[in-house]
Amino acid sequence: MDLFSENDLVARILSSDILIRIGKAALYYLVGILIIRLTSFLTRRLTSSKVSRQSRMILNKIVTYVGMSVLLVVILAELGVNLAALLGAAGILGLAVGVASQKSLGNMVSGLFLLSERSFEIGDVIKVGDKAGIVHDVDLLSVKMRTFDNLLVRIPNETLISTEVINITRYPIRRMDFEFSVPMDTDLTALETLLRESAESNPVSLEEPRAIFLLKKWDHDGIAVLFGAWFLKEDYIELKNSMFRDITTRLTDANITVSMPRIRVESGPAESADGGNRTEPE
Amino acid sequence: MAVKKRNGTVPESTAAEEHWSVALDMNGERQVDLSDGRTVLLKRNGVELLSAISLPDEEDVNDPVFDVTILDGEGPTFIIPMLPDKPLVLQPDAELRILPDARIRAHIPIPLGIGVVYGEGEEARLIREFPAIHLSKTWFGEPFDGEAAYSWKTTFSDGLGPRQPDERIAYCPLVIRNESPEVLGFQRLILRVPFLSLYAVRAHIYTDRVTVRFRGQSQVSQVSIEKGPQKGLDSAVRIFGPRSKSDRALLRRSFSFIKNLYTG
Repeated sequence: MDLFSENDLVARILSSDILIRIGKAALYYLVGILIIRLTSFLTRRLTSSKVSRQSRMILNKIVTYVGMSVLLVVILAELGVNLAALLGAAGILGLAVGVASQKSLGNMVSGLFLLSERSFEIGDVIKVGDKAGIVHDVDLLSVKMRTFDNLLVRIPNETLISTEVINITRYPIRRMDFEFSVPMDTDLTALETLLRESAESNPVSLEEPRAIFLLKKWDHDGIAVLFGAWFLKEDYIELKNSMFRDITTRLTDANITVSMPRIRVESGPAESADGGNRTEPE
Repeated sequence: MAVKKRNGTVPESTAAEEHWSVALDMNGERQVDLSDGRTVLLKRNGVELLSAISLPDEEDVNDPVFDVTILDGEGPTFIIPMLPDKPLVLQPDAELRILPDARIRAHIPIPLGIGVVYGEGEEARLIREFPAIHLSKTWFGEPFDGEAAYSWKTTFSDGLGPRQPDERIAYCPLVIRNESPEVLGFQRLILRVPFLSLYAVRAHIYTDRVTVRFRGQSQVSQVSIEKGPQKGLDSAVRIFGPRSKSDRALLRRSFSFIKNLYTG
């Protein structure tokens, strides 16, 4: 009798249109995925030379998310699910999830602000706190950055929106500053000439904007000097190494010493006020 | 990049043309001296092209370190003159002022580098490039928006007359017209040499003629490049086409008036 009932159930399922609906839904899924992937591919191809990598990525994500949502609705409708009731339930569920995941929602809202602000894009070199690296991915929840020693750093959008972000490669040229102090008796005119010659002879230092030479202040090490040479952002390492080396050589040749901060450490028994050695109590 | 097709339509060859566009034999070698004393060494062994550059203070030029390029066939290899790959920011060596409605006509000398090209006509491919002399890098425009260029100090003497023949120098016929009601006292002028072609005329090499119309500091200037050799040089032969296509938006920004922007 039981066996008969089971067979009856299977027969009823087979005879009903449920199987056909499942089959149709599976077909919709396969075709839908294919269409979404094709649209995503075409979007990437058509915009590759016209828009930035970041805009391309956002556009691609919008196409994928919208496509997946439409596909989900179509499949559920095909399976006979009451969408109005489901959306009502989803609203209540969404509220509950929202309350439970306020941080994530905060990150998503911050992500939207970051995207609209466009203070950096994929491929830019940014510095956040003590971390610097190349922006690798900008998502709704976080920004992923690859550091120069090849580590992946994930920074939540909420952190980024409320902290100082330095975009190192936003502008095509940069100024590299060399700051040091020289003794009070240094010939400052000769020092300026020496530094300017170093910049002029450097193949990657830009002739214009002209390098800046600034006597900043008198400090406890002597006279604080700032010398800044301009360069194309891609020449950073080459300029830094070559100018550092050249300035050091030129200063040495010109007998100009750079004042170093010093700490004097003395060992042995401390002298007493009357000039004699103070005897420590036993 | 386009290199002149060497066919029967070419007028009688000129000294400058013969100096350049030299074909390297299948198993030949050649040395070319650059204006700064360096020597470019080229060797062709069938499909293998070896190139090297030696500095003037290197004693042993017979044992240089060669770069090797493997070619896809046995097509011809040419040595051609090349204009710099970036624009030149011209700095007059003396203060220059042009009154309203006046104009200056000058020949601007531009150092030529060497290019090694494989193939002919539209199929020609640039394999190696050796700049003629070291040109200082500079920036034209604001620090947040401008373009990279080379700095080039030159004389803006009036006149388009013949210059000292030198196959390693190209002369750019330049006309600056002041069409504004103010005196034009400029410090920098950008000359976008990658948009220019080269022409050989007897012992000289010329570029296209460039005309710049100044309409005031607040107005964009108009730059026109007249394709072809300047008037009166009918025997000119084009030996090298422009390196890049001209951009109208870029051509409008020509003058720079130095401001104290960078000293802070």
